[in-house]
Amino acid sequence: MAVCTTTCDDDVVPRTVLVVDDHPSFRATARALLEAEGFSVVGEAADGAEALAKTEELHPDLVLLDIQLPDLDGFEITRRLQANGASPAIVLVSSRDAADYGDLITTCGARGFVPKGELTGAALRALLP
Amino acid sequence: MSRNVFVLAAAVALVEAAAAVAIVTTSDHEPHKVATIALALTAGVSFVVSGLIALRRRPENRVGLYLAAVGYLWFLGALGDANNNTVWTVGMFLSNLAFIPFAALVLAFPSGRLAPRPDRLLVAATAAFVLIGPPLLLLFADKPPSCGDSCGSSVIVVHRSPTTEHVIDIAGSVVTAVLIALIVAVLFRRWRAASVALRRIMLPVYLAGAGALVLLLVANVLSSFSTRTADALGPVFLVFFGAVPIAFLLGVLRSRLARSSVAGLALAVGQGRQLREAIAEAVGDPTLELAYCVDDGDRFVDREGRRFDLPADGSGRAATMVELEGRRIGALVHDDSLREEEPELVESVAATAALALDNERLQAELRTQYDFLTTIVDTAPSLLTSIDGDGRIRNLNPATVEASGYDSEAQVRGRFFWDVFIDRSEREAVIGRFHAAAPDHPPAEYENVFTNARGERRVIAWRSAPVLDDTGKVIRIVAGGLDITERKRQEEELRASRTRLVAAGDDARRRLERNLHDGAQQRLVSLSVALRLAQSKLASDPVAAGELMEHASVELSVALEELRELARGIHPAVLTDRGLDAALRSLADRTPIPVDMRTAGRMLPAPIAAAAYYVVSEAIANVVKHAHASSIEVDVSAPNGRVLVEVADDGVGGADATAGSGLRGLADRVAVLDGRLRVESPPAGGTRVVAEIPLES
Repeated sequence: MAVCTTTCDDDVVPRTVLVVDDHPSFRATARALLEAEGFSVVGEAADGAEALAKTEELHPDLVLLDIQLPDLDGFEITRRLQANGASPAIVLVSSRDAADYGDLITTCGARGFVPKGELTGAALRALLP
Repeated sequence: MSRNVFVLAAAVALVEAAAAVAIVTTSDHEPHKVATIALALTAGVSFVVSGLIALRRRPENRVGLYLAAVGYLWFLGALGDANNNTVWTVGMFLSNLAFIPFAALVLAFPSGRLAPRPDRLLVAATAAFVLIGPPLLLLFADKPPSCGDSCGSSVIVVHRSPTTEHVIDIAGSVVTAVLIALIVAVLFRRWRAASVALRRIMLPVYLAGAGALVLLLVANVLSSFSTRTADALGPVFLVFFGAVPIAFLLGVLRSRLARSSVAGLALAVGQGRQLREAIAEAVGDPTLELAYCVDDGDRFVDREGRRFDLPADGSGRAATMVELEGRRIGALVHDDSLREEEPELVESVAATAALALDNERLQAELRTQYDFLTTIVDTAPSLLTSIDGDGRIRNLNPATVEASGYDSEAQVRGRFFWDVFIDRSEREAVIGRFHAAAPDHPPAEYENVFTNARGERRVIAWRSAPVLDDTGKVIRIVAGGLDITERKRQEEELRASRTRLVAAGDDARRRLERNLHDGAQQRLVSLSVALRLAQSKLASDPVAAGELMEHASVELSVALEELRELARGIHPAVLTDRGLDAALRSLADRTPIPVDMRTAGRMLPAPIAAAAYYVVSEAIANVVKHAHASSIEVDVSAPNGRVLVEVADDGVGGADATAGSGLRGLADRVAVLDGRLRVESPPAGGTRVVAEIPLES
């Protein structure tokens, strides 16, 4: 599996992604979309604990993180991931509107927020360096 | 009696005495002149003087009159010693007249009044006997047998007959004995009925009087056999007979109660004697009854407040009305003869007794009102109690005893109010407030919670007010309390129910949002992403795009179904559109366990129909989840102005209505409509949920 570097050509060397969502149908759809757009989905997680464990294990470049999860919410997971020293880029997603979360999205340390319905490869890339 | 009359009367007696002495002294046939003079003077003078003194000191009492009459008539006995036979014969007629007032005297003592029966009858009999007896004898004999040689001769003899004479003599003795025995019997009865105070007055008089009567009886009997023995008793008789008037005089002077006068009656009543007894004695009618007016004089009652009918004419009884300040207040009911013979006396007694009678009437009325009030206080659901200045409970009604948790009034009376009705923790504060309110104890309202003697928690709303004496000093504090424990509990229950309803509403909206978010929204989000993906692949990879579209179509169907389900959960449209019966049938169709459904068959008000629907829906959901049942029975009926909803299953039972939020929420929903929900669920006995909702609410 290719490891993304800053020298990678986005179209050539796919960035690795971990998809975290408790809805299997969204995970499946997101995987299909991201892979079609040149990302490499290296893993999926259904809750916060699994997300923390898989990040530790897989070192993805990007964590696509649903805010509402059964155990921990996306903000808490973001905080823990950054505290662990591992620092993948984190993009929060939700089927709710960004405004529902106030300034939590901008202050939690995540790269950004994409509404689930508007998820595209381009939207993700826009948030990444 | 004025002084002049007194002196005149004494002078008459003196003249009489002198004449008697003269007759006896010059008598040809009196062998015991000294003894006879002594007897005549002693007895006659003694009676007259005693009588006159009594009349002067107690003019209203007839005892004095009777005493004097005995004395005056006594002197006539001296005519029996007259030498002239005509005078002697007249003397024989008159010599026994003294016994008429004497009989009246002993019977009337000490009141001076003769009761119509038997007193007056006995006096009349005595009069008849002494007026008829001696003349009858002298028709058949020269002289009475008791005379011996010391008598004159009858001038009215029509037929000398020793046999007839003997018969008359014996008959006379018998009648005398019977009369005396009857009088003694009456006196004896009166003695037994008399109070101790009265007996003290009666004793010396009765001893002397009865002694004299017995002596007379003995002398009378002996004279039939032995004149000598009878004569020997003379001095003893003399002493006794002389003592009798003095005893009477002393008795009358000592007796306050004996004054039959109106003043005496007033005094007697004032001294606390029973009004009826005092009036009975004053008018000389022991059968007298008192009747009290109530209802503005329309109705009569007795002392106990019982109905009293006034006697009808010709019943032998009569009523004298008693009025006070122009208002009829009662009646004296007495022997009819009193009205004929002593109308003024009865009237004046009635007037004098009016005030006392009115008092008793008020008491009778008060007693009736008191009984009425007592009944109210005893049956009142309110707590009523009175507390003294120290804070001790003095009176309390049954409702108060009940609230205190004790079994009897005696356990509470006399205890401090706060020891019974205030919890230990608040006691000091309450005692402080009580003493701070002293001495005025102004009206106050307060509510307190306490645990009573049975360990029950009670909430009482009290109102208190002081009761003042005529100087304005607080003598009692009256407190009325309402036991609002149940009201408080209901308020608490209502508050809790409202809170639960609001919470249940919030909870339902939260679940709805969650369901929307997790369900249809997620699917639509996926759908949106998938469609975009398909669109991007449409040109490059039409096959993959087609697969994506296929998948999206399935997702869309599922999302639609979920939305439908969700909408039904919010409010079943069929219930609104087609009513409860259709909604319940639709519910039964979706239930995986067979449902036997009986419905009311009529339109119900929307809130009731909705409540009924949710009761059935929640109960069926519980059956499906927990009961392991093989069948469910649903019965919705509307008997007698209410709606009954029953859901029964044949499952494992053991459901707890208070455990889950579902049944509690149903109970709240039903309670809003003034209905009740009950759950019967014995272990292994199936579960029956019954909601009862009034249709009028």
